[in-house]
Amino acid sequence: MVKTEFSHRSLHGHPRARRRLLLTTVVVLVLFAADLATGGMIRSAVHAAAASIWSATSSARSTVGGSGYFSSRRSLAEDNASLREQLAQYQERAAGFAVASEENKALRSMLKLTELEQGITAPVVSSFRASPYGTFMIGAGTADAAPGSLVLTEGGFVIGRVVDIDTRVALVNALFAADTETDALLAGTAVSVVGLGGGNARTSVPRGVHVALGDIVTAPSLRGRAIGIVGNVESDPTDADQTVHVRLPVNVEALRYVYVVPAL
Amino acid sequence: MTIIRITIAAVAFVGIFIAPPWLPLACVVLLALRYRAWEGLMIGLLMDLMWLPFGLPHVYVPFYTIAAIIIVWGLEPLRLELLR
Repeated sequence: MVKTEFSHRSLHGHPRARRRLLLTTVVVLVLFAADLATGGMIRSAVHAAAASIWSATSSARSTVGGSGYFSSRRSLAEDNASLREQLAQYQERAAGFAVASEENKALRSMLKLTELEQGITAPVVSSFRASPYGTFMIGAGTADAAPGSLVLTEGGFVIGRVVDIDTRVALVNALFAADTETDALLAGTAVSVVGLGGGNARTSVPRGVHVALGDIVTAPSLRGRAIGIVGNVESDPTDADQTVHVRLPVNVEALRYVYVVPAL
Repeated sequence: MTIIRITIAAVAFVGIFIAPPWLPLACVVLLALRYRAWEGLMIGLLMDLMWLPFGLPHVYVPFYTIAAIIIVWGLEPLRLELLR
């Protein structure tokens, strides 16, 4: 039999392949619903597997990198990364000192005692750039943290909140994830900081407010913790507001460990 | 042809964990253009199970699962033209 252009198969494809596609669609929807119904059992398994894969690929990357292949390019890249890392560390330390100084001043003025916060150090177990939702994973389980716990850098800057947690791995929503708004305080002015992803954010303040590079941005809703520093200020004489670019003083993709503290 | 399909799918599955988010999506489109790629749906689901924050009070849309379903089924007429 000669297959014509208008045969059943040409119009609708191979029936078995089509059935398989339909079946997979149903399976995907059922799996998604089952995950929601079971409180995240499936995604817990996915997170645990992903954390293991990330650890495995990290060691593999180090092995390949240290094997001598691509050595000239690697050495340049390493130098560059090392210098950037040093610069970021110095900036973060300087900003951290400024934060500590401001905190001390505030504490003295309020004549209140502060209690030291207890938290845990957790490893970052996923890529920062792979998530389309501005999330990343850390190696902290239900025994260590809870949804809403704050995730900090070594310098005390808040980089995210725990949104989902299972026995071994927690999913963290980055504070500066794209289009995420955070109420903050900059140079004594209340502002709304809009995340841009990659540890960067943007906000607007009236032109009359003096904002300098390196100024600390804090979030009252996060107990006045620092969330970033001013990286750039764009001021247009024709505009009533000035655009302030806020960034974390540390390269988030270089973070290996974070500090997790309870939300309140 | 099967090797190409397996390679693209493998790149997408690995990319879910370590690559920028556009890579798995691009792989789903590539697969859906040429094949009835049921694996494209699994890639979308895995992407959301892996990265989508499920915590309240915000409700997040499983963009990748929805996008994969739309791409795989929506490209059916174009794929039929290519397969003809």
